[in-house]
Amino acid sequence: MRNFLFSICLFFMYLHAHAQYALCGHVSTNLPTDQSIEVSIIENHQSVPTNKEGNFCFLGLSPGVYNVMATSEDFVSPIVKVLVNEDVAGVVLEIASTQLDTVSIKGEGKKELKSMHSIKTEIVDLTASSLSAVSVEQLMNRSAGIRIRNTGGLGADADVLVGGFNGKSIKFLVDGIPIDYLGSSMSLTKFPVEAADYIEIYKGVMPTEIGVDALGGAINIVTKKPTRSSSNYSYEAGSFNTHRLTINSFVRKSQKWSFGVNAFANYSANNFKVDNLPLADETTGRTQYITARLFHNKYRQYSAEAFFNIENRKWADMLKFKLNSYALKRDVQNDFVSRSRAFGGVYSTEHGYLIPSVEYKKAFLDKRLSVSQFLVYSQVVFQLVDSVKNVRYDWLGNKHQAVSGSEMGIDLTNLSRPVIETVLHNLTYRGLFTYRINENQKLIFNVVDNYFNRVADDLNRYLSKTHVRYNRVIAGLGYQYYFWDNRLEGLTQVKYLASQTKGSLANAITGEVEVPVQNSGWSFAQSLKYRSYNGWLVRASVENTYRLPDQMEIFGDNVFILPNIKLKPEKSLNVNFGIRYEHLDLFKIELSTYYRNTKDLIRLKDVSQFQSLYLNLDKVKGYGIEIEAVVKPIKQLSLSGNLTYNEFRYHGSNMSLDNNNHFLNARVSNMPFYFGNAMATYQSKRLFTKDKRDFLQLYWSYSYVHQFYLDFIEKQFEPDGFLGLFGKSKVYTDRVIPIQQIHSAGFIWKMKLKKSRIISVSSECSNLFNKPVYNTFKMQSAGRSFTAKISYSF
Amino acid sequence: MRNFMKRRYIFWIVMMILTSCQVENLSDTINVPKSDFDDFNYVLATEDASDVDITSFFAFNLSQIDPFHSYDLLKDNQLFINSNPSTSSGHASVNQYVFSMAKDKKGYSSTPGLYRLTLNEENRMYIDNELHISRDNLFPARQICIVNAHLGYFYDEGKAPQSIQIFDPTEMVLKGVINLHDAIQSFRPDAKFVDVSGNNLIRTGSLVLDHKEGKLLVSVVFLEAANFNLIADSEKNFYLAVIDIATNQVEKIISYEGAKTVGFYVSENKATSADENGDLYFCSWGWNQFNAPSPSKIFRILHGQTEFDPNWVIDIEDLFGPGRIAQSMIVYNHKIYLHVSDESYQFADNATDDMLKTIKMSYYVFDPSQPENPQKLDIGSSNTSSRMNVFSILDDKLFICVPNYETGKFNGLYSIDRNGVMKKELTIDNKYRPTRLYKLHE
Repeated sequence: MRNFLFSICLFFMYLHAHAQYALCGHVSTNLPTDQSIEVSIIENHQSVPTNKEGNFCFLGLSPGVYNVMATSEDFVSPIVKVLVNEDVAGVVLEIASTQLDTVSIKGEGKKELKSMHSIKTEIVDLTASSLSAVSVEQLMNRSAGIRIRNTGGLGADADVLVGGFNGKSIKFLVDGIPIDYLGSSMSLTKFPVEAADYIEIYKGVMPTEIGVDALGGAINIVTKKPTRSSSNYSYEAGSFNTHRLTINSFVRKSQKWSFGVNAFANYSANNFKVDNLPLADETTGRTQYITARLFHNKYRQYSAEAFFNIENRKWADMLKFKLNSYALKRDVQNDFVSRSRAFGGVYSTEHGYLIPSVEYKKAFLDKRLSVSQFLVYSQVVFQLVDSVKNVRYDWLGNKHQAVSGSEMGIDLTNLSRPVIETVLHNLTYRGLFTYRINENQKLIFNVVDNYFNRVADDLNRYLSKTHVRYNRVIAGLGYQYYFWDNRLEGLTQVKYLASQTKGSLANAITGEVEVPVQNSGWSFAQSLKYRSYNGWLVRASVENTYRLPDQMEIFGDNVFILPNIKLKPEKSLNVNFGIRYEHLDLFKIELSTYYRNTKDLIRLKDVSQFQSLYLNLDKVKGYGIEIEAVVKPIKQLSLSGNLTYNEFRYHGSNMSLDNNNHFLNARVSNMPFYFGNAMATYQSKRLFTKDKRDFLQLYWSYSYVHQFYLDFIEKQFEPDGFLGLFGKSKVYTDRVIPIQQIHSAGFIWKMKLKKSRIISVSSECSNLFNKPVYNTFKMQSAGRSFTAKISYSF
Repeated sequence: MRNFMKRRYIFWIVMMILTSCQVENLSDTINVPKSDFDDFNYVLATEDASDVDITSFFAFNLSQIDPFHSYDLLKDNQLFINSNPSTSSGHASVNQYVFSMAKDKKGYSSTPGLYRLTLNEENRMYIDNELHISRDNLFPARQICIVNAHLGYFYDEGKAPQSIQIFDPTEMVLKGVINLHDAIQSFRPDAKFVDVSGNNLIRTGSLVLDHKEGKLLVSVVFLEAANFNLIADSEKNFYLAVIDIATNQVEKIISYEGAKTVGFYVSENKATSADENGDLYFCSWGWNQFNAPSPSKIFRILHGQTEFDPNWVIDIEDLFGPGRIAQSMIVYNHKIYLHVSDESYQFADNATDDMLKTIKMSYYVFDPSQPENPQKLDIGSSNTSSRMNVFSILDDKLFICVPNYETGKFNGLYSIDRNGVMKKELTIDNKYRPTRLYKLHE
């Protein structure tokens, strides 16, 4: 052990030994010559202006890899990575006055920094893929350690698996704000790639700025923040009568104010073919299994936001007023766990017509203290409409006489109309305060308060509503520090999480009573990153975290889920470790591992034939390994791949009557545990013109998900090969989701037009070989599909 | 160039790892039906002790079993051939077939249907044929009556709410339908057939479907609310339609005062049992969802009769105490066997922890001529059986499932022969809850 520690010390001392070098170069631009240009090194925050000829020089640099970029008043160059292990000259940075590059390059810089943070963050770059005919869901599924399991095409519900957690353990945010105020309008199966800049995926430990009570991970959708006037329009059409339209427009009237609109609309019939649909022969009564198209699975949505920015005032660096509006309607083709029967008239709607928000940013104390505050109120209305009486549909869309007052079989006699309505009022405040102590240290304080008031139809009492109020406060304090020329970075943080909820419970003696329930907990996290001169990056983080039970888990749904006011928060100890090696732009490999020890997991437990309640039951422990690599054997060709193995196993229950000791060490059921992706991208420039923006990209992607069981299988009966990946199981069961392999291919062609206008055309064929793909409940998803897209920006 | 080659190798290694996993997917096995039932002809259905959604079938040879050895059914896979065709345990059998009425269980959801299971050449149970049953409400009824290899009955509420479907269990084809609507209307002219939303309020064959001396007996339930089979507190009787099997004509509707329900409409179970004389016994455990339960009772129709016997009853509460219930019943060798709770049964649906409390059930035998004189069987208590039927008659013996999930308590099967000799037949690990025992034959 002592030798090992000594070796580690030697290793770091070796890495730390340094000399002093110069990095010089030239900025090439077509901007007016009177515009000042500054060149910056991202790692150490150094900046130097260019001279009249556009040349620059940094002196006294330690050996290492540096990300360098040039900025003018409105424009930013691409980031260039430079290896400094001797004096370097001749670095060329280019600034072009095109909106597209501005957006894309600026984002890329932030993304690159995020991906090198001490906390492991998977970045899904939507801007880089905004020209391709690919969905957010597909992009996410191509990332390491992430699986999205869609229940029925565009706009359907989806379960997200991140770092071994799924369901409610994963929280969603937009620009660091919990997403609840936007309903489900920005869920991963709904918004197009153009609607955001990039997605941050936190696995386990989260930075202070992310104020949610996620147990295992968070997904933060970061929207675009253009700095100059620009517009982008795109239209996408695809199989299953899918159409998607996106509009992004930003107008800067001066440095003092600007405004813009971002909007998108989705439509899809989602009428893909599905195998094994049961169809009764009315004469013989026999069930035949047919392949048919889904016939009542349409999805429509519009989402829009308009904003007005007041900037660069004495009293505010930015004051932003924003108005969001959205509405969506989704036909419900079948119940959520099976396709045993078809629905022909059931649908759900959701809308938040006017969602006002305000954001205020200001730096004080010579820009040492930055304050960002956000406030939003929303009223989101959810409706489930089941209005078809005494009719049942078969899978060919034919109607038959039936004796149920609703297709789903829910008793709606206590409602005035066949609509189950839930109204969610949401008030969210977020305050982010950053104090820069010096160049190397800063304090971050973040507080998020979510207040919900849920008013829902009560199916058990005639014309009655249930009321539940829920307030959640999460406050975090972080201390971030940089040492050794910023090569060592650390973040120490503490978070306080509390929730208070008040709802009505039926009491046999006193009738309805309002019961308040409180939960709270403290979370601590530490993360460290070391980045060497020669392309190595090592990071580690540890955190104890909580997820507070939500109002549904505490108060149930009045029908099938009983209330349980004794629920406690779920707890987890998360440890992450990762190592990454990068050799210029040619080769990158990263190995990430994570350990989770989760207790009091809240699980829905059947307590009778028809009712269940949430209980703090399970303990789950385990680790995961992700490996991802990118190789560029030639300049135009990029090969990448990732592989994830999760070893999360059940470690007992809090309830002795659970009778599941035999499943101790069983793999967590109904969760993919081994999956990966591979991708090849080939780029060719100047195909038709001499301009480098005449650009063609061809790509192919492959996705593999290993088979997994829907139920717990004792460890001793798992397939007997290495890690359970090979061999034969002792359990002979139909309840298994088989191996899934998907190939997809596509192209993007981009062309520069006059006056910096750019047009692009792209297309993709997903699931080339039309292989069956399944969701959480072994329901088949869409097979082969084609998508084409055209984008125009200026 | 060398670096490029190295990188390329890494890429292809990753690709090989990605694509090389080979698992023998069990559902790929071709289902060829077994033709020789001389061995592996006993089939034990079990549910996992922690999860009623995990049902497994085990084919085995009873003669090879050491009754004093505790078997891990999956581990001992040379003796017990396992399969999970994603159906529930079933509760009826004819020849080489077992009939299950629920598939793909997931929480409180499952797919209704009449699923016929049999063994394949590897002695694994699989669905070999099925008839469609609609799912018009959240909890479809799961009663089935098999008169012989070519005549059976089931209820498909979604297709015809006051009708019984006639089918051929061997050919698996519908043969006709018996409509009870007019008879019900005549019996109760003011009966409400649908509620304001259009939900059916009169179910037939949802609680009882049995036959006796050429008559088909079908329960008729007048509901207060469609959801959960809720019967009004003001309703005092249990109703039964008597149908002539030869003519498919409804002869009459009879009623029994003092019970509202028989069996459990949502679960596969049979709460009626016929004696060799032709006496038919009914077991009511009293459950009525949100409304007040009725006292648990056993009552009967004597052979040659088509009216309830007003002078005979086993009143469980009178005999055992308040709140005590009988859940399973069978008549064998002119005796009535019951599975009775050791304490007051928790019907309350808003009881949370209490609902999870373990209720013990004990086994009793009654001589019908002395209904007030139960004899407790020397088997020991068991947990409740979520599928209720713990009794089955095979090889002219009564087999009794004893489900116990606490480690150390006997979990398995007993048998009783015509001489009253009780024998331990099979002991299994507490992680599998025995639900049914079948014997298949050609």
